[in-house]
Formats: sequence, structure tokens, C-alpha cells
Amino acid sequence: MNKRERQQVDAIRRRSNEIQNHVIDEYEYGKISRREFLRKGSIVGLTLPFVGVIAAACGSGDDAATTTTLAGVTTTTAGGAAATTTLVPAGPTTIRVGMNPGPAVGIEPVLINDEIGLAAFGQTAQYLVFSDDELNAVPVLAESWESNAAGDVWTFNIRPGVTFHDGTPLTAADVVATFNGPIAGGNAASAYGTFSFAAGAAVALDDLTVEFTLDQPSGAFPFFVSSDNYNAGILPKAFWDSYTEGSYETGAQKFIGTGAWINESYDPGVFAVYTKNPNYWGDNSNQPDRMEVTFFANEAAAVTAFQDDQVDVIHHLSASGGAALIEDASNTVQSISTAQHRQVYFDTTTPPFDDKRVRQAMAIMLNRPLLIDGLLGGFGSVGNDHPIWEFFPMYNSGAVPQREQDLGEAQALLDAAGYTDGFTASLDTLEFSEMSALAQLVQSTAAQLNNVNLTVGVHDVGTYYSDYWLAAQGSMGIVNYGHRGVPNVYLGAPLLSDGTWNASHWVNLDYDALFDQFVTSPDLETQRGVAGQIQTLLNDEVPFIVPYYLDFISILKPNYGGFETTGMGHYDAVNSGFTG
Amino acid sequence: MTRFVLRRIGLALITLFVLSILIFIGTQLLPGNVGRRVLGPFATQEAVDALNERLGTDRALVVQYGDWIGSAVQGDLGDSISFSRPVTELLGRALRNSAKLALVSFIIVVPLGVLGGIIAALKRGKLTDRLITVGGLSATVIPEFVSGIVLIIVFAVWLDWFPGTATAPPDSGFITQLHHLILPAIPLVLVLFGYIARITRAGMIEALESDYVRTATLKGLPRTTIIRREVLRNALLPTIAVVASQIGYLIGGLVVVEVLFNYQGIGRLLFDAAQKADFPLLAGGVLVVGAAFQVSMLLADIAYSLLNPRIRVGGKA
Repeated sequence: MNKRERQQVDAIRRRSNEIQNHVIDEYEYGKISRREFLRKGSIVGLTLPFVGVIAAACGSGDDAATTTTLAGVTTTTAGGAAATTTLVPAGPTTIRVGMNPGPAVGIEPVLINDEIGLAAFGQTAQYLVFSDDELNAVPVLAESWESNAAGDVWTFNIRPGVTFHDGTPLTAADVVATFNGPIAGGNAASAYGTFSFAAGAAVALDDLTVEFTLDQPSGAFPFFVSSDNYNAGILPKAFWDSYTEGSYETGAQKFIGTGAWINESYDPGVFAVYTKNPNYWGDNSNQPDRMEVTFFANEAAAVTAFQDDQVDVIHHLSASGGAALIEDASNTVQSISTAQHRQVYFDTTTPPFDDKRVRQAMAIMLNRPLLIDGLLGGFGSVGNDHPIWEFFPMYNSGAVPQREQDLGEAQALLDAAGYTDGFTASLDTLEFSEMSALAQLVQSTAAQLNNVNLTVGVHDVGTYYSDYWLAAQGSMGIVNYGHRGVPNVYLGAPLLSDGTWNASHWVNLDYDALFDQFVTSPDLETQRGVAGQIQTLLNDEVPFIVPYYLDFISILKPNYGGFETTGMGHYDAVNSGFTG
Repeated sequence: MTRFVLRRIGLALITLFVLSILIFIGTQLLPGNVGRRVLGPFATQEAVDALNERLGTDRALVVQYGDWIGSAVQGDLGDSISFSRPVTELLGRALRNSAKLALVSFIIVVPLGVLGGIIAALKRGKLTDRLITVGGLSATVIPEFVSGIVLIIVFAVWLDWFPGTATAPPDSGFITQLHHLILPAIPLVLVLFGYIARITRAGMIEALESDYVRTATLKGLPRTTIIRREVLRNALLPTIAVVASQIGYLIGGLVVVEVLFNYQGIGRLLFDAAQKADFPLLAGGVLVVGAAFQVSMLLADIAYSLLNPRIRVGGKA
């Protein structure tokens, strides 16, 4: 870097804390890539202008620059020419979005636990931070943030000039009321535990500053207050003071938020209509005037509506259900890689799966690329029996080779474990997407081994999670985990010895210790090292098989574009529109 | 007549009471836990237990039923667990939607079926008769999901004559809503046409072979006059009863059509409620459908007795 660039970087360093400087060091000395620096920098609270200056000064131009406009905030990564993805609508426009199915429990901020409810909630409400499709922590209602040296106190600076739909200004009190209030007892409770945050530990330092104190350090805390946490949409203190279940849909402040869309009408499970927020705090000059969202009872109905020109986009569809649309070259298929995956778990406390050789045999018998092609239409990536997705920055690519199908070795493992004559076990899963088909393929593959008979049971969602998920006894199961911006959730409750989601009943103190190291790692390089150990341990122990990760697929009409999605299911249509 | 109606209403109430017990027991037999279904798999057990306690689903069944039926008789069917809204509000909207679809179906199938039956009877034994009866019977056995999918593909996707969904865009006018309801009504027309036509045909044939029709013919009355004055009135009696009895089916039995055509009627609402173990919504909806069946049967009986003096209450055959 030249002298001027050095002066700029030094000036930034003087304004940065120890953790932020550590990230700058990692990038300046080539220990992390530009992409990783942009992401990590956003997490630790380096402002985007600072990140841009440092990336330009220290970078080698290995990443192309991109500009994205999210929530009216344009962010441009450093270096090179920016390429925008916005469309300029010509005149008043209405966009029609198809979603399948409808919200599981309505649009209810405390209880939301499904993708559709989350996506609907995110049209009117916004988060302090947005976890985008590249796992960046993008500032939205929080303009910036930083942690103390220990990483257990995080301070967020609220963006000034933001108002709710009723005109009241957003203040720190609203943020405190959101995180200290009812959402702590709802579905967000698990996130609270994962990020060591206790309800009540959010404090307003002034009108635009909020401080969060954690029970233990967490380098990924911004993801707790991000869109990754379903329920963390910021709503007014007045709303929370008078909150009752269902009041977000029907109360005096129904559908209130700071978002670019204002809800005009809502018919539960049928449709929602939104209009452009004329007083939006961000730049929504290109926003369509109206958005009509139709909820479809099933995917086939959504596909039909798309073919019939009733909708301009289907928010999310499966490769199998949407095959007719995907194969139509005139449509625009939009797919993004996500960390969403299936876990084929074993009851590790009861024969035959108490012997890890049996679990390894079941893992090694699978042809994962074939599963992706057959079940996902190719829209996925292989898993390696741990939930650290390859696109997480801490993923350790050299830790463990990719497991590949080897039926001979699988049988040898069973023989060594004393199961030469095979065994019989149950394999239960829920009726969702391709999971029942996956169960049947696991069953048929196992049948190629000597006398390994799996009895498949497919159950409705409620029954499965109530009666099968955590109740495996000498059996197997298949469960789904949705996308997250960091793997902390996957590594915590499902795998810790006292984890509340530990369907495998797997107890491993070494793993517990590694997890603690992982979440408290001071820098990415250290965390990557720990991740490598975790990957190795899980790949060897196989408390569950991760056969693949799924892409998030949307389908758009050929003349429609600018519809942004994330692996969680969020979507942003603020800068969408029609061409021609 | 008044005593008859009052007696039928009393029987209907007893039927609905028994139905409420059966549906309550049935929902309790549904596997799964209500609180867990609402909050999802990743909520803490403490949150699930708290919700179950708040909803009262952790109480004894008899206590739960007593609370529910006590409110229900006062018109309060409780709040939907999954939608967090009064059940009556959700049912009211769904009932209006189902009524619209039922009405469109009725307007198409009743005249068609009656006309088909009349023609079949008048052309008895001929090709026309065979086409109508066999064709109608064949259409009846085609499952709605099969006919519905074919109709969507042909008329919505290929020909683009009709929308593929039954739900019109928000704020749509009458004509647009009607346009959306034509296609989903057709599977129902196919199911009912054969039934109505055959009943009408049978009634017509019986009436045409009666002594009074023979007398009228021998007296020299024109055939059309005989059919209009003497035959139809008697022939349509069983048809009216059949048509009225189908009202209940058209109101509450259209799960397949409503799901296929993405229409939020009672059928689809009950389907969703069953999937989510939303007991208040499910029980309330079943009671409404049961009441619809009772009302339709009562209307059929009243209409039948008004039209046929021989079977009026207190009268002699």
C-alpha cells in the first residue's frame, strides 16, 4: 500500500478496538480473503466505509466488487467497478408474489417459527442487522456496532431518522423493549441460549445506543440481533407494552414496523396486500407501489398460478415440485446456496447405533451426489456429516476428506461391529419437501448391505416433532435444519451433551469443550482451527449424517427481476420491477 | 308443520351435541402436542408447557369439553390456536366463500341435471338416454382431484380461458370473482350431474307410467302440457330432496377442490385445522358443517312435504 493508504488505515486502526484491529491484521497479513474480511469486518462492527478503505489499501483485487441495495441502503464492496442489480419501474407497478404454504401460526412476532411467517413479518418489520445471502451482517436499523475487548458486551448505535409506520421515531427504548420483552419466552428462547444472552440484559445508554451484556463472550453476537433470529424484528415499545397474542395482526398497531412496505390488508392464510411506505427512512424511489402476496395451500397450486400468470414470482419452491417451471427456459430460476440441510440421526445410546462403526457404515453407504441430482434436481451441495457448511468462513477445507460411497467398506464396518447378519431398525421422518423420499432412498441403499432392514415411517410435522424427533430408541430419524448465518445453532443444542435438540442422545465431553472454544474464539483463524477439529470429530463419530445442503430456489417471470432472497427465506422486493 | 319443524330442530340439536362430543374425542386422539405444534420443534419445553397451560390443553378432557361447549352454546367458539383470531371470524369468512362456490355449482348443475334427467326419461331406451345416464355415472366416479387437475391444465394453462385458482385478487368485482369460480365448480358439477339426472329420470319415468298421466293422455291433452302440469311436479319431488341434501356436501365437503384451486372455504380451513391440531377451529368448523347438513336436510323435508300433500305431517298417504 502507498503512503496515503497507510495513513488512512492507521487512522482507522486508531478508532478501532482490539477485536476490530485483529480482523484488520488477519486481512493485512493475508490470513483471510477479502470476502472473509468483508464479512468478518461487518460482524465485529467495522463500518462499511472503513472496510472499503482497508480492502482497497490491502487487497489484491481477488474479489469482484458488487453493489447491493437492501432496505434502501446501498452497499458497495471495495475495488473495481460496481455492478447494480436494481431495476427502474416505469410508472405505478404492482408485483404479485406467490408463497407456499401460508404462515404456520399467522404473522405473530413472538411465535413465528416458519419460513413463510418470517418472510411475511420481514416486509413490515426490520432488524437491527440483516444476514444476507452471502452471510454478511448488513447494518439496517443499527448503523454500527462494536464489542468490548472481551467480546461479552456489545454496543449498537441505532440509525437516526428512522420512523415507524405511524410516524413515531425509532429509539433505543424500542430495541430494549423488543429484546427484553415477550419474544424471549417464545421461539427466540433458543437463540437467547445459543448466544448467551439473558432477557433483560439489553440496556438503553441513550436514545440511540443500546448495550447488550452476554453471559459469556460471543464473536458472532450480531447474528443474534439479525434476521437470522426469526423473532427479533424491532417493534415499538408501545406495542410491546400492550402486547397480546395475535395483536400484530389485529391490534391497534397492527403490522407496524419500520419497513418499506405498509400492510394494507391481510386475510389469514389467503393473501396480504402491501403498499409503498411514502415516509420510508431509506431510499425506496424504485420501489413498486403495491405488492400482492398470495399464500397457496400447496406447491402445485402455486406452480399452476405461475403458469397461469397469476403471480410474477414464487418465493420458494422445491426442485421436484417446481420441475415444470425450472425446465421452462423462459423462466428465470434464481437459486442460492444455503446452509439448510437434513440430518439423518441415530440413537447413539442403544444398539445397533451405539457402535460408531455402524453409524459410519450407514454414512459411507450413501451416494451423495446421486441424492442431490435425484432429490434436489442438482440444486444442492454435498455434506460431510457435520453442519459446518463449506461457505461458512470458519469452514476448514483441509480437515477431513469428503466421504464417498463405498458399500464394501460399509459392510466391512458392520462385520467388524458384529453385525454381519444385519439388523432391523426404524427410520422416522416428517412429511416435508423431499424428506420422505430421502428416507426411502436411505432404506433402499441400506438394503444393499447384508440384511440391514430399515422400516420407514413418515409422519405429519406435529406428530413427528412431538413423538419421534427426540424420542429415538435404537432407531434413526431425519430432521431438517434451516439456514443460519453462523453454525452456532447447529453446533449447540443438537450436539452438546446436554443439548435440548440432541436427537442422537450423543454425549461427548471432548465435543462440548471444542464447542466452548469455538464460540469464544477471538479470531477467524483460531476458530477455523477449532472448526477443523469439530469437523473431524463429527465425521468420525457420526451422531448424524449430513448428506447434503439445499439451495433456495425462486422462480421469476422472464420480465421480472430484482427479487432478492436469503437462505432463511427472507425476501426483498423493494428494488424489484419489470423490464420491457 | 310447526310441530314437525320443532321436532326436527330438536333432533338436529341432539345430533350436533353428539357430534361435538365425537369431534372433541377425535381431536384428542390426534397425535402430537398442541403447544409443540404451535410453537414448532425448536421452542423450549418451558415455552411449550406455558402455552399448553395458557390454552388449557393440559387440563382433564371433561373439563376442557365442558368449558368449550359452555361457551359454544353462547355463540363463542373460542380463538383459533394457529391464527390467534376468533373462530367465528375465520369460519364466517370461509363459510361465505364456500357458499359462493356452492351457489355457482348449484346454478350450473341443477338445471343441467334436471334437464338431462327429463330428456333421458323422454328418450328412454334410446341413445340419448344411454349417453346421459352412462356419461353422468362416469363423470360421478371421476375423483375431483383428477378432473380438477385436467381442467386446470386444459382451460387455465393451455387455453387460458379461466384462472387456475378460485381466489380472485383482492378487491375484485363480482364478474371477476365469478370468473374465478367457474373452473372449480366444474368438478362438483361432474360429481353431482349424474346423480341428479338419474334421480330426475327415475321420477319422470314413474310419473309417466302413472294412471293419471295415462288418463290425461287419453283425454287428449297435449304431451307438453301433460309433462308440464302433471308429470314434473311429481317427478321432481325426489330430485328436490336430493338437491337439498347435497347442500351440506357443497358447503363443507370440498376439501380437495378448495386445496387444488387454492380457495379458502370451510373444507380447506378444516383441513388446515386438522393438520395443525387447532382444536377450537376444527371443532367449531365441524359443528358448522354439521349444522349445514342438518339445515339442508330439514329444508329438503319441508320442501318435500309442502310439495306433496300426501305426506304432510298429520296427513294420510
